[in-house]
Amino acid sequence: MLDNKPSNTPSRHSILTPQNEQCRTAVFFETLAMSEAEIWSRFRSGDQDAFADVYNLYVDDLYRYGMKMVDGNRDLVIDAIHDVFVKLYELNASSTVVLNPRFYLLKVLRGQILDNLRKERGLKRADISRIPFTVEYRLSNEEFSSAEQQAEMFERYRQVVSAMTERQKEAIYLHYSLGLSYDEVAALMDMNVQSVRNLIHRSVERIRKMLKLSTFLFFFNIV
Amino acid sequence: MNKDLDLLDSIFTRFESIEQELDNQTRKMLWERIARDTLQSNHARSLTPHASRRRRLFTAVSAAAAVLILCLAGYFSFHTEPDSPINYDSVAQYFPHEIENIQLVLPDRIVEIRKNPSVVYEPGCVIADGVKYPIAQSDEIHQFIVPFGKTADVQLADGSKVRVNAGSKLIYKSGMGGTRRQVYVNGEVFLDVFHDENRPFTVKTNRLDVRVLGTEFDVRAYDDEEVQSVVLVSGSVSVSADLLDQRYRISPEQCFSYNTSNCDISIRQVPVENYIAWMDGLMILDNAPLKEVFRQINRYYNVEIVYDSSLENVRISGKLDIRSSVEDTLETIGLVAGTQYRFEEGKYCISAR
Repeated sequence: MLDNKPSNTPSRHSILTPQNEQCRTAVFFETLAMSEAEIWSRFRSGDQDAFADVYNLYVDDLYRYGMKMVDGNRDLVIDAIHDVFVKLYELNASSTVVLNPRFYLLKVLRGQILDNLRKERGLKRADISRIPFTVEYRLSNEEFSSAEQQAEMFERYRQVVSAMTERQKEAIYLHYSLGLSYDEVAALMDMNVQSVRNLIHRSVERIRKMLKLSTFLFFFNIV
Repeated sequence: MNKDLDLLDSIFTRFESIEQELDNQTRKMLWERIARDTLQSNHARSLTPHASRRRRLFTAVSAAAAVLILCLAGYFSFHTEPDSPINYDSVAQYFPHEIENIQLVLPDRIVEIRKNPSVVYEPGCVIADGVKYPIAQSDEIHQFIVPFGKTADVQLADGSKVRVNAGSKLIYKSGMGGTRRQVYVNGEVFLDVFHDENRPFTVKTNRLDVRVLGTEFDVRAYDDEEVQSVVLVSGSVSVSADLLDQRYRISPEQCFSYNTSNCDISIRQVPVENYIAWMDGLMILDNAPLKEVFRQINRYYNVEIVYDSSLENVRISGKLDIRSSVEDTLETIGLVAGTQYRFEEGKYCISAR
């Protein structure tokens, strides 16, 4: 109950063997996840080389996310990532079960950065809303009929993002750029799922207030 | 709501975030720094307790309490046989809400656990926060104390696993006894008992006595609650209360509850998930009076809550995520119960909206 029961873990063999055509995609993703899981379990079992693999596997996501939390203060992020991996290494000596290492590391990083920022700026707990989340977007490769249309689209987007609070930006980034589920976003930001939903609902409300919805939807549904 | 999500999808799937990437040189330098602070210094780090730092962090009050504990625990560790019952009431009592960090109380020291709320017993030692503390004798009395606002795991010497809820205390012998295994609980724990037919396992509270072979179950016995309960997930246990002659055998998905003021006993079928949801950071409320809800919130978050007496019997149902902030939780309750909160002089004041 408290631990990862071996009986709940499907055998590697059954995951890697495609049963039929339909499950090929699923198998592909499971295979990717398995190699992550394999690195993780090698690390958990005390394989020191695997620690470097864990580092290489997750450091990019941590860096990208971290840079947005600290408004580009690179040294602060580097220090925080250092602390996160040192903590991870120490944790490994214990029996704590980490089911989702990437999520776990992102969460620890967030806490570490907030701690460091609070110390540096003398902020209190409640001030988290004032910690900026700096993120910029560009249009992904999409065909537009004209340069004007593209410019218009970008302007709409700019308005949307400027209407968001810092935490709304963070939630959106975690979900769309890092691919976390809303449940994970909630857990990461120490909120309950309902609060994340409210957060998102409020940001959409603001968008609606700012833009005439019909125009807005027109722009985002064309192409 | 789904419309909202669709709207966001329609925007954000068309954009990608601009990323500043970690350059290779920094990547390498950062790794070298991490490796230097972990792999190479590992030996020294894990074997050297930071004694001086820990000492500095004690306040005068807790130091006094510590001395008391050390004396009593030390006394008992010399005066117990492997199978003799522990005289729990005599073991120094101080309460989880009075401490800030999780504590492992050993005969010769108190280990404050700050980083990793998980303690593991191995032959001859106990590991807390990555540090090994040697165990001189297998019948030393150890205490594991979890303050309000935290939960923690212990893996006992016999391999049994215990999740300890906020505001709870677990007392046991370092080696878990000879032919009889025994733990004492004040508060709430979930136990996954290692199966060993030859060494029956007993859980005691100040009023209950639960006998087990190998099984998973939840015991709840908080001093500030009238009812103590045992909820069985799997296996089989028998329960007795106070000095009753009779033992009651309960089956999986049954809850044995004992009212400590009128000595009423009930055994009923219950949705087990509700009783062990706290392990996943959830509080499941089924027509629960606000009085009860606020008491639990006080325990989980270690915050003081005051409320108008007219609210105490308002009942609410639902699922609360108690890993979110106390503000979020109070806000969620407010949505259901029609209350609002304000923070004043270190207390959360709840009033009707």
